[in-house]
Amino acid sequence: MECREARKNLSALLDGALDRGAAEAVRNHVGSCAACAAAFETMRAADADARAALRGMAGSARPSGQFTARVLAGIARRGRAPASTLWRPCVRRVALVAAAVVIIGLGIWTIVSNLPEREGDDVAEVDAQPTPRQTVIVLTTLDLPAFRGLVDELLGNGFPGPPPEPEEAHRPQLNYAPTVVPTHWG
Amino acid sequence: MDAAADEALIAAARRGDRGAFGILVERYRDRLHRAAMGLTRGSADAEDLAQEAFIRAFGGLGRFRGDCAFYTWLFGVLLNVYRRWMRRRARVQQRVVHAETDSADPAPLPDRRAAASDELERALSVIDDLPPKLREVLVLRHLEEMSYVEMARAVGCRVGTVRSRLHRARELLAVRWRRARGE
Repeated sequence: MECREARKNLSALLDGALDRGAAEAVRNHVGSCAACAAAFETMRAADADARAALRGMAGSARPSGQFTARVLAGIARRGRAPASTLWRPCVRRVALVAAAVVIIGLGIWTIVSNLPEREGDDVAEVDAQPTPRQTVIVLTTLDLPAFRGLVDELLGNGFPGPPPEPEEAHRPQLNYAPTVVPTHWG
Repeated sequence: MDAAADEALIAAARRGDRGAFGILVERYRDRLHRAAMGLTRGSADAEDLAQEAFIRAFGGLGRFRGDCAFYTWLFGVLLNVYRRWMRRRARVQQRVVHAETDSADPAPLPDRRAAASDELERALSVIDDLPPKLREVLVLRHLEEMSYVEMARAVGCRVGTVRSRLHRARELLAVRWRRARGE
């Protein structure tokens, strides 16, 4: 055993908290290493002094004769009954589940109530004025024509935008229709 | 202590029987008071802290699951009360220090008891200087003679943490003890 390992176990050795094999190994090391023996002896002496000091200070101390009466008066003054073992964790769990159900329910209701009515799958052909939230939903469904229309509108149709790609033939067929999705943002 | 007798009293106290709780107080007050003295270094507040721990224990009896001795749990309640007291005390002392920055020799803490001898006084002052978490395990070990498992339950941490805190406390004690003796 090395010094470092032995010193880590000196405190547990004092308490008799090591198993037999480990205690034997630490004792053997301490017996053969003067530095660790000195460290152990210092620790033991300091610990014994600390123990004596703590016991000397607190050992003879007694609470006043009114101690119990004061405790009971304190309990009566605060008027707190002991919490039941069962209902408190149970109530906490039920409250958490209820809160989760309400949050999830509200989320689903918000999404469903804002979905635009669709004819087929063509979201861009919305005649009614959609709300901004509906427009966001359109965008999040990756409807590219709608997105392009919105960008055109936001840029005032006059912004040059990115340069055209050189090879028209390689442009993916996205069926762009210059659709403008009405919004209330502009 | 008789754990079965404790259980019956705890069950009655949970139903609101203050008389039953009073018997538990009588049974553990000396021990808890001594622990409070050890933690607070003999402060005059020790009795108040022990009383407060009992009062809070009554309100929190529902949280005592019976997986450790009642006193171990009670000591955990005392530790919480003690930590709050320490924080409040630190704030008060900070204010005092700010108010008396000109004072070269600040007055000793009012609650400090005179120790029986220089040797004890020196040892106590070394213990005083330990960080609170290290002092807690030292008190548990020396005053309460708790096992590592009991200490872990009382403090609310792992056995390995208790073991390393105790080791650290003793290492610091040894260094400061040697220094205090001029070695």
